[in-house]
Amino acid sequence: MKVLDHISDDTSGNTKLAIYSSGYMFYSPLFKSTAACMLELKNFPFDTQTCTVEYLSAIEWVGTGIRFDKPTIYIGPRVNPISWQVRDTSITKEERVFHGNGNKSVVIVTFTLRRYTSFYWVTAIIPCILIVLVATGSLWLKEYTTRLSIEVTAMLTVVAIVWSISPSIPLCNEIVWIESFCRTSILIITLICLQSTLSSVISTRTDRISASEKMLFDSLVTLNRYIIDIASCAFLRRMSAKEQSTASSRFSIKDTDKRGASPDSRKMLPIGVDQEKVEDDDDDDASEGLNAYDDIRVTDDDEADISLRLQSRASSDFSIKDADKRGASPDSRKMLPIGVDQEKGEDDDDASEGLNAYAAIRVTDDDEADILLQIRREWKQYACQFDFTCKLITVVALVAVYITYFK
Amino acid sequence: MIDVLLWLYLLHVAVALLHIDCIAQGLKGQECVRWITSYLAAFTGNCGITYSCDPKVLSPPVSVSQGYFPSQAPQDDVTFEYSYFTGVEVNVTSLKVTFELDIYNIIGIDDLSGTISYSGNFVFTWYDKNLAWNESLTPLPIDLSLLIPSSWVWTPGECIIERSVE
Repeated sequence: MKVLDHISDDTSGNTKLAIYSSGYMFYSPLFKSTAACMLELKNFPFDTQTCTVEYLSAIEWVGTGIRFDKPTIYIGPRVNPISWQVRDTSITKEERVFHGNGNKSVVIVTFTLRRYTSFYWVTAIIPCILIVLVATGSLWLKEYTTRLSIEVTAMLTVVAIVWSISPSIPLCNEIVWIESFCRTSILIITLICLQSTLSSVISTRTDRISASEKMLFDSLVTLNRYIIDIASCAFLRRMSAKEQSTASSRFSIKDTDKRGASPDSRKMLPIGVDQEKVEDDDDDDASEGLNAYDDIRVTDDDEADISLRLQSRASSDFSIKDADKRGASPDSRKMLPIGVDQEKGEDDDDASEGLNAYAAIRVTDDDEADILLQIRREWKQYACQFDFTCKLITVVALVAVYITYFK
Repeated sequence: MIDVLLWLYLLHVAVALLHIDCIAQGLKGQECVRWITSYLAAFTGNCGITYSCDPKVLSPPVSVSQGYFPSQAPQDDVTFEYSYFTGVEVNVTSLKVTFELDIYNIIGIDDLSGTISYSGNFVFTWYDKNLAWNESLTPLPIDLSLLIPSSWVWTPGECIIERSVE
């Protein structure tokens, strides 16, 4: 039992009492009560509190005593507090045994109040949703640096929102709804950041892919299809189709969609190899959107970059002296080693050896370029697969989270 | 048995009636009201304590309590109640007090302390036949009510308890 603050003007003796000739007494003291209320704050700020306050007759009624009878409650027209809406009030009576203290009348007053939530909608919930959507939308950006900057900014903004509303969140031993919602928002954005970082790292790797990594990334392809099958909602299908069309438009090989591009047939052309010839060699594999999408990130820039690097290396080792004048075909592009005299080379048979040596080196460089390009292309493909998986997971997770929170 | 109880009841009511006779005192209107108030103050033993009775008004002067104790709850009708302690029905004289809670302001719920604050009025009504008077002896309207300090007479007390802690 807990007796709380209960102030009545009667203590001052100023309250008047009306008495009638029949002995009917009318007594109406003012009061101001503060009563304990067991709060259920799990759904804060969408919580509805039911506070039960009990008034007890001061004197037991067995023998000589009083009984509270016919309890009623009247709620004034301007009773609503600032941040609460009074939903219901009720009053009942029961007679209860208090061991060692006799039997007493107990009047039970129940208040049901619902909190106004507009403040929390405006300051926390809607901003959090918008920021998470912006962070999710950044996954569709190509530049990893831009993506990361947006996502980190979004995360810091949500943290700031949490700080701003933390004084309004009641302290209790359980995580309240709004706290959980904000933390989930931070978690989602953190995962998006992590995903962007990983994608960035994967796409810039140049070392050879190991068997386990290959298996892992191949499983991503399967996972993507699986997720699409599971979450067969129109939105995801539309998104997938969009990705497919985007991939087709960016794919460097002509008519990829017509011919179909399989992971195996995805061959990047070495420098100088005829595009049309390769096209003829390609198989007509299934035109999976995801597979086609894989190739989009292997850009011409990368190819040009590698080519340039190799050419500059070749230029530093050899001096090109009028190869064309000597009748060197563009295809063979014979170059003299440094120090070999052009004129002498023309006369001397040794010169042809130098040219042959150069040709051998040139072939080696081409192979190296091929391999390097192939490796980088594979990593980028895997980065794209990873990206796509994460997009799917993020969208599905977002829908699931919001359904869970707002059901 | 019932006849005896009824006779005791009527006797009880008859004894409880105050013999307030304004006409005999030559008092009318507000003078009568003041005189009744003084009389009640004297009757309840509060003359000169919480209310300054005018001895000249009181005729015959009633300066001492006539057996009314403001600290003691008045007795209502005899009823039969079941005793939790003895397990048998006993005669009790419990007083029924109607309880009304008029709430004019709910200040709010304090999340930090887990309390609800509100204010308003209690409305208690009951019968105290010791303070009834004979209307036929007064020239005042029947529905006259007198306002007297609540400390003069017995008033119900109440405690506030918090159910879930119990």
